[in-house]
Amino acid sequence: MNVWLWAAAVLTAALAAPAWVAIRRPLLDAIVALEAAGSTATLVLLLIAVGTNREPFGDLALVLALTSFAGTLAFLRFARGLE
Amino acid sequence: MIVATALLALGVAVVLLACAGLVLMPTALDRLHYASAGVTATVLVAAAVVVHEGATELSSRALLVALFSVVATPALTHATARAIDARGARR
Repeated sequence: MNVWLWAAAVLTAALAAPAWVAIRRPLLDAIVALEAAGSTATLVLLLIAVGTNREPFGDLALVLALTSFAGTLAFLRFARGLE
Repeated sequence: MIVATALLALGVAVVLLACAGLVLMPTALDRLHYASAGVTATVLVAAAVVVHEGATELSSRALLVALFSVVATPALTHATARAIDARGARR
């Protein structure tokens, strides 16, 4: 394992923090945690692409960045009706 | 290599501190403050990738991710803060 994959492993472990907030805290706190988890997961995919030296995997990070943005906006839109 | 590793370590440290803040803060707005720190970490890690890789397809993806994060995260933070504020006004 190189330094990039170690960094990816550490960030994957760090996802436990937003997961805990998303499970145990109120709805809007959970959406905030979802935002944090989205940006962290994007970094994980980027680091795996570098660590395994597979250039096409970089596209996955870009796609996750785009979809997590759209997904969180959708959650925010529906949060009005859910509370 | 040492510059890339230093940038990477800095980025990971920012994520870990942001995660600690996310868990420890009491209100949604305080948590949002730490969630939006992810953009700093994204820029640092993308810089590490560019320094390590040079001008490759992967470093262009890293730059695109950082650019999108810089543009989208403030918009998302603003929208979330408005939603939290609206909830407070209704109560």
